[in-house]
Formats: sequence, C-alpha cells, structure tokens
Amino acid sequence: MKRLNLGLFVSLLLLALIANFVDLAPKAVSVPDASDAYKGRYVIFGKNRISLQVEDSTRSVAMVIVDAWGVPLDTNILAEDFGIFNAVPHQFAIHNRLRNTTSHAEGAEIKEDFLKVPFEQMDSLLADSICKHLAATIHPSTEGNRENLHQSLKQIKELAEKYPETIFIVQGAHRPILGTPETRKKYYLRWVPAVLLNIPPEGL
Amino acid sequence: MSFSVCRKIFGRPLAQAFCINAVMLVLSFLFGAKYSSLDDYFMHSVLTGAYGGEYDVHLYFINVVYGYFLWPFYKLIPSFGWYSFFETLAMFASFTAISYVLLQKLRGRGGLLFTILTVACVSPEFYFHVAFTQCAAALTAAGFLLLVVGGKDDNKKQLVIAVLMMAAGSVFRREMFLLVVPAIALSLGIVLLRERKIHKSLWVALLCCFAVVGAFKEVNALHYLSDGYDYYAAYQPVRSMYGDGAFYDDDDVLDELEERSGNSRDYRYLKSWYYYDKDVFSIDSLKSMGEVIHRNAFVPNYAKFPVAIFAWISLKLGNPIVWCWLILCLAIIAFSHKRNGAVPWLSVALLGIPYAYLLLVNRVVDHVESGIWLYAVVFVIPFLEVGNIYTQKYGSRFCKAIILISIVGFALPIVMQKITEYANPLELTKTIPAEHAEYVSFFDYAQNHPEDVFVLPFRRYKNLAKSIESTYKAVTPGSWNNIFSTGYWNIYLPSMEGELHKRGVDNVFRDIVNENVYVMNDDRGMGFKPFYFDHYHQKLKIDTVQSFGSLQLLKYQLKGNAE
Repeated sequence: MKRLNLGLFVSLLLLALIANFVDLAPKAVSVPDASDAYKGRYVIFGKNRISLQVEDSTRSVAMVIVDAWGVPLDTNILAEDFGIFNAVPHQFAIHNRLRNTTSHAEGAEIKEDFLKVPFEQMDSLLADSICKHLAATIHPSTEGNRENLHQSLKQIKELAEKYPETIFIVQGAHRPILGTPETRKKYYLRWVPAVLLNIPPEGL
Repeated sequence: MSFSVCRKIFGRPLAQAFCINAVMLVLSFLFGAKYSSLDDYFMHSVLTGAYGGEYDVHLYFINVVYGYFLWPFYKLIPSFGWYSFFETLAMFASFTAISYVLLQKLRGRGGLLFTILTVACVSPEFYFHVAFTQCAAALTAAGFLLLVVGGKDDNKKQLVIAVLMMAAGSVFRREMFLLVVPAIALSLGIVLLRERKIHKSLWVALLCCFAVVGAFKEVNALHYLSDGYDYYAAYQPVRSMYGDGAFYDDDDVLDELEERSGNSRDYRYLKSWYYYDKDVFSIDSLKSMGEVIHRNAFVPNYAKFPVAIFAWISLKLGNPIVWCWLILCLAIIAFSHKRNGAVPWLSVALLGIPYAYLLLVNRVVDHVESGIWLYAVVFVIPFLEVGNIYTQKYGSRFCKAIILISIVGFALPIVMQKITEYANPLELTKTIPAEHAEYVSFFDYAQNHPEDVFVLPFRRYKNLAKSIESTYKAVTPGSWNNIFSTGYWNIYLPSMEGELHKRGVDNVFRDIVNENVYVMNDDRGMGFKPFYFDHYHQKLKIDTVQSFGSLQLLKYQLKGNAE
C-alpha cells in the first residue's frame, strides 16, 4: 500500500515536471475563428475594404453598413439572414474586421470616393444617378434584435431589386455589442456578414 | 560553560528553534531585507505622516490595530522603521514557532533535519521580503500549526499563542487569514475522525480566535466612517477595478464604451492610473462605467480549473518552498504510519481551494501564492509521525537528500538574485540606476519648493519611492507634502487632501493650470491635453520648466491666457 501510494505520488510529481515543457496554461478566453466554421460555405474576405473587390468601374456602387449585424456561431442563423437575399443575384461572404465599432467600420469601408448619405435618401439618389458611389449606415437594432434586422435587410433587398444595374455591398458593422453579454457571445468577434448584390453568380 | 550545561540549554527544542531562526534574522538585517512591493512603503508613509506630519493609523490594507500597537515605539524613537522591524520580527516569531513544533515532535537528528529543511527552503522568501501579505501568511500559518498540535495535546499555553498569532495574522491581511479556514476545517475533521472527540480547550481556542478576528475587523471599520476616511475607503474597491482588476475583457469594454458614448478615452486614462479628478472620476461616475465592465466580465470556465491547478503546481516546481512540501509529503508516505497516507493527497486538494478562489477573482499574486504553499507545508507537518527516520529502510539516504536539498534551497534564490543583478542591473530595481539619482535630485528640489505642487504619473510616483526608500527608516513626516500621484490607492487620504488645499488645489486634474502646479512627464507619453479638452473644454499648452535627466517638470497653461 505504501509502495502504491509512493508510486502514485512520484508519478504525479514527474507528470508535473514534464508538464512544464508542455504548454498547459488554459487560455482565459479562447477566440473562435469564423473562417473555420464557414469555410466552403461562403467567401472569406480579409480585413481590406470590400469595395476593392469591385473591379468594374462602369457600374455604380451602393454600400450599406448594417449596425450590430454579426456572424453567429450557429450557421443556420446566418443562412436565415442571407436567405432574404436569395432572389437577387448575390454572393455571400463573411468579412474580417480589425475592431468592433461602427465608427471603425465606417472609417474602414467608406473611403474618399464614397458619398455618405442617410439611408432614407438612398432611393431617390440612386434614381437621380448623379453620384456613382453612395454609402449609408442603417441601425435596425443595437441589441441584435433579429426581427428588426430582417426588416432592414428586406428594405435593402427591395432597393437592390429596384436598381439591378447598381452593385450593392451590404455588410455588418460589428457583432451586437450593446445587447446582453450572452447575446454578444453568440457571435464571432471581429467578423461580419457581407453580401454583394446584383453581381453575376461567378463573382466579380 | 561546561559541555553538559550547553547541551542542557541548547538541547531544548525552543532554544534550538530560537538559535536557528536568530541566524536567519541576523542574515536578513545584514543583507537588507527589502520592501518587496511599494504598498508597504506607502503604508509606512501614511503611518508616520509623510503627508501632513501627523501619525495616522488608517493604513487601509492593514488593520488599525497595528498602527496603535506601533504608536509607543514611534513615540520613543521616531526615525526608526518600526513598521518594517516588527514585520520582520513577526517572521522570526512565526518560523521559530514552526521550528519549535518540528523539533518537539521529532526528537534528535531527524527533528533537526526537517527543521533545517523547512527554515532553509521556506523562510528566506519571508525573511528577506518585507511584505504585509506574507507577514499575514507566516503568522497565520504558525498559529494554525500551534492550534492543531496544541489542540491534539491539550496544551493550553500553545493554544493561547496560536490564537494570538492567528489574530495577528488577520491584522496584517484579513483575506490571507481567511484562506487558512479550509485547512483548519480539514485538520479538525481528521482529528475528530481519529480521536472521536476534540478537547474543549480547542473549541474555546477556535471560538476566541474568530471572536478576536471579528472584533479587530469591527474596530477597523469604525475608523473609516467619517472625516473623509469614508470616501478614502469607499474609493478603493471602485478604483481597483481599473488598476488591479483583470477579470474582464479589456477590448470588449473599450468597444462598448465607444459604441455607447463615442469616448473610450476616460477608460484609457483610468487604466493608466490617471484618476485623481474628484469631479470627473467621482465614485458615482466610476460606478456607472463599472457596470459596463461587469457586463463584460469573463465567465469562469470551471471545467478547466483542475487543469489550471495542476498547471500551477507544475509551474511552481522550481520554488524551494514547494521542494520542502514535496519532501515532507514523501517522508509521510514512506516513513510515517500508514494511516497518514492520504495526507499528501488531501494537501493537494487543499492547495486547489484557495488557488481556485484566486483564479475566480483574477488576483493570482506572488505573495499570496507563497502564503498558500506555506499553509500546505504547515498542514502536513502534524502528520509527520516518522519516529527515528535514520533507523528506517532508506532512512539515512533520504536524510542525506534532505541536507542536499536544504543547501540548494537556501542558496538558489540568492544565486538567482545575484545572477539577475549581474546580467541585468536594470531589472533589479526596475529603474535604471542613473534614474535613481534623477529622482533623488527631483525630491530635493521638491523639498526646497514647499509651496509648489508636483503631480507625478503613477509609475514615476512609485519609482520616486523606490529611489528614496529605506526599509528600516521611518518615512520622514511631511516629506511628501507637495508630491502627489495621478492615481494610486492612497489618494483622498484626508491628510493628503489637506496638503493640497493648503496649496490652493481642490481638484488635482482641473487645477494643473494653477500657477504653482507642475506635472512630471509620463514615461509612456500620456498627457492631460485630451482629458482637459473633453471635460473642461479648454485647450492647454505645455512648457518644460525643469529637467532632471530624463525627468521633466511640465507647466500646463490655458491656451487663451498665454497670448
């Protein structure tokens, strides 16, 4: 019995010694990567602004940034969100962000060649087609309310259907931040969904 | 003196314990036991009235009882560092008690051997560092050991000393004392299981212990109810979230603050220890930001705790205190009565409890860890019933190993310290030695300009203390009258506020534009311009008015006026 006890204790000691050479430290917070979960389903965009992807300079571009639209851990939920755009020629993607604020998203995506306008005016401005590059930010819900989100996404879809010649870039600003921490944790950090509308299926 | 008389005196366990530890005590005075964290220096400074010149017992982290205890000594010899002296003496008393128990239980060479092992491997960490948390741990551990041993033998003298020591431990850091409670419970449980009863005197001792600890707590609380000490105390838990707390996701908090208000700058200032603005960073405003912080707190991953505990033990294997514990555990398994076989495993479980608690509050700190390991050592000692270890199989080989480990355990920290000193002299004090002189010349300048106010960023404030501190000298009363930090735990101390008011300052940050207020440059480039614009809607200009090597004194002024 003594021998067994001694053996066990010494084994524990040896294990602990060996463990020093193995990285055992549990990370306080592991940051899951959306690209692993969504690989193969959707296009993965890096951190560069999406408008760089649009090479066809003859067409006008309308960008809509959707506040608090994130990439959920549950792939079905995103499929639902994207599903709203099925009727329009589309390309679905997820987009990497460096930071999690609306101001960062706007700063990163809306560059000099874009004119920032209120979303409500986008329809009439597109009709006038004076400016080739328009951008707007829309705030369906700051807490991640999905009904409000879907309503806004439908509005964007209708706009895209009305102007099939215009390329629409729809993307989230960041995951829902101002909701409860539980809601927030259901979404990937620093990833947002992105939809390109009115582009041919094989991409740009 | 004849040999037999010597033998009579030094043959007694108490005398032996005394002598062994006297050697350590002398060594610690000779080699300069140092403050191992500035908190002790600043508490010492509060005590001797570095701000305002009046003796002040409101140390906050240490119970006021210690302040009252030291008062007659400071009255006698005001310039001696009694605060540090008694902390060191407390180590001496604690380890003498622990040594005495070991020598008493294991007579002859075996007892001497285990005592030398414990003192050589465990005590240097405590003797050479003057730190209130470790002081608390040492006193509590010694008291706990005496409680268990005295309780088993129904030795009333030992029980009285046990209660006194544990109560004293709680004075230095109540939380450290509380961490021993699981060990007390487990030890009592084992005694109950074996003896089927617990002596009345042990119950009485326990009751007295908790009564005294509770009474000390109440007496302490009474001192923080009014006269500005209430704000001083209430501010502590609120500001510590920013400076000390790491239980939340920094990035998430920044994001949320920016999304909500568009301004995360205040949060950044808070985290850089800039908060001595009583209007902008009042308790109420900090509390509301605190709500955002709590929303973003990390969720403990309980499943990972066992692995974390194991990883921690494995990490600590380089520490001589742990070697001592390992040797004691091995001795118990190999040479003790087989009923003690489970003790080392119980000890591992006991290690896990306080460590898990530290993980939960996200405050795994050096000093507390040493304390937890000391509790583990002291928990297993009563079960070290090995008899005459030399006569047992492999006994003498084991003893030789102990001698070797004791020598290495004692020498290792000293050698490591010397190596780091040699290889990287900057690391030793974390300030470049040249900067020492710079801080000293700044300090002299400040003493010569008593009407001026000097505001130092937190790191500078601490480095200044490091450059002028001397462990066994009292901090000169009034020597810090005109030197303040941008944020530290001692802000809002009534005597500090008094000194500010005397010099025309009511709100430190708002009043940096006053004629007599100077700010020291921040080593990381933080400045007041953005803050002042955000909250006082004024633009500032900066001029350098004085230099001390790399340290600069800046004068902030309102831009409008300068034209």
